Amino acid sequence: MLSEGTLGAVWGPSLAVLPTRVPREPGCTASGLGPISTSTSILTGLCFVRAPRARFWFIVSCVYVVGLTGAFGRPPVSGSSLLLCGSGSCRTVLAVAGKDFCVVASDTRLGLGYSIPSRKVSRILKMTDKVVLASSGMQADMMTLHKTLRMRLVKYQQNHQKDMSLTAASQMLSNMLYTRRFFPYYTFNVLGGIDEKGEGWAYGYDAIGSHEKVSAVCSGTGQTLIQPVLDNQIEFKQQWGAPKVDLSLEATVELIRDAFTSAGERDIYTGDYVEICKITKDGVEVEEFQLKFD
Amino acid sequence: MASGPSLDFLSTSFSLSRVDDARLTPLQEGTSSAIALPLVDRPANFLRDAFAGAAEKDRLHFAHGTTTLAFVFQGGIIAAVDSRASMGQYVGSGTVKKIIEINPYLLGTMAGGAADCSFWERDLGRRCRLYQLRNKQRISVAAASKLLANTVYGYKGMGLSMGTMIMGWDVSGPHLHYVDSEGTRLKGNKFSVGSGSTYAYGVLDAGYSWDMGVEDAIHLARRSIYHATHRDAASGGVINVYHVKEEGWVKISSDDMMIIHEQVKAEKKAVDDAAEAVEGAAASGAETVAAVGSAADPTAAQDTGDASAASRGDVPPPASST
Repeated sequence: MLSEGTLGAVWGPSLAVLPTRVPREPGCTASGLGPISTSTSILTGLCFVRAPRARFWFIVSCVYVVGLTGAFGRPPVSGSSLLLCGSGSCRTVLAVAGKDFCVVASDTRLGLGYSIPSRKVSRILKMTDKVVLASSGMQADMMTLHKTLRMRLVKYQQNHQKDMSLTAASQMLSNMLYTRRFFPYYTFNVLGGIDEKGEGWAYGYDAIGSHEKVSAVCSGTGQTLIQPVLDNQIEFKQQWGAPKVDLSLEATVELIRDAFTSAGERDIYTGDYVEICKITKDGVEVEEFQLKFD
Repeated sequence: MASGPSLDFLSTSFSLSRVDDARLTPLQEGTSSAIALPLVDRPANFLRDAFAGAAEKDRLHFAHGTTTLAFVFQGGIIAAVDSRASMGQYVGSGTVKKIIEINPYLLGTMAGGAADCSFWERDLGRRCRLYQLRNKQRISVAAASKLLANTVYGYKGMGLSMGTMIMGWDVSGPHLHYVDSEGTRLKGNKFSVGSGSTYAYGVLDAGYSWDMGVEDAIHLARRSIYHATHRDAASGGVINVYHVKEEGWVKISSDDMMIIHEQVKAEKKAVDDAAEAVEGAAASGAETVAAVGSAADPTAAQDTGDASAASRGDVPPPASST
């Protein structure tokens, strides 16, 4: 019986340590063993090791070795791998302001390394009838930021008996991000809306609250793909002599649809659905359209 | 109790909070105005350590500003800045307002971290206003810059990145102070801050004199920033120029650097043509004039450096010229 037990104790680890190459998620600290190969070898071993005592030792040693080698993944040890495995600065968000309207759009894919846990995650926060926020970056920080913002909006509304204006909301978001200067919200926000005068404006933020009022801004993984298009088509940058045309709401939405479609082709983290919020003096209208699911 | 000037304005309302026992929930923290610190052993190192092993593309990049300059002369203070904010390799914005209007008689510039500069200079504006309300007189530039320097000194070593110039005209004349996130505070007549500052200093030092006229001073400032944007990859965009006078500051111009590029090129060409004409008249022989004149035409389309060198005769004209 002892010999069976020893056999089991030796059999288990040797099977569990079968080397296999498994594609790793970027930045994950799991070992090179795959969960599938490990479980296959354990099951195979269980078929061969019959005696109950041997089986017991076999299973114990498998568990021990699996824990050691981290075949089923190991909890990330450092802060950075936590961010990378658990977040992704996935998704693309953008805001384009027109003369008397603003359009804020975001894709809805949640990417985690090479996986897609969800296709329909909303990253848009409708702050008031005139102000909409969209955030890219880490999902957890985005949710907390939105929760906190909602609370601040309610407080403001109750204290001042009116909704927050675009300029007030933009400054508040900047200050909120800066209070976390040394432990930032890993979010890249864009804010869009209509100010008190009825003009449409967009604000782009960095992670700690540096903000700027612009006509068109894009953040997230598709930023480098879409921002140049917006610079060219909305802001007419470096086009000396070309007439600056104010796009209508429909033309802007068409442009945004085209931009997302093309970004979805070239960026793995952009795709699935796009939520488009159109802010006019009549309020916020949400439209959704579908991108490729690949 | 309120016999002397009130010193309440010295108290920092943005305090560092290290609440170990009474832990605030994220929502509570989000609504307080305290600057939150990560609850780790060494909060100052957290941000650096968190991204220590990360790939470049995953690191948190903050917007950084880059070439600014200011100098005092007989007509007041001129401040000129570029407008590029880089986030790592990406140009976050090409239209950043790096001159921060603290109040109608105080200006601050932004170099280093954009969020740090704009937040703390806005806080400075608030405290200057409080001083003015409590003491019924405007705060001096020296006191304002000292307030800022003392505030950021409290966060020394924690990763703030800020190199700013506080300038204004108070009862004792125009003053310019340089303040940075290390706690340095210097009074001077000429400063340039940022990654392109070395280029700007070269042009600025060469052309500066106390007795310059206002137009010359503005022209010099604009050209200095232009040369910095030309050679520094992290500077660019629009060149903003402000003038601080006794009555307060006034915005002079906001020109895309390519427009200034064309102006500088035209000026150089005019100078070189004039020099050529002098040389041509001094040198004997029509062939020399013809050779230099025809060499100047094909090289005019090249980099301005080469063109001027060729037409000055430092570099021999191309052998294939007609």
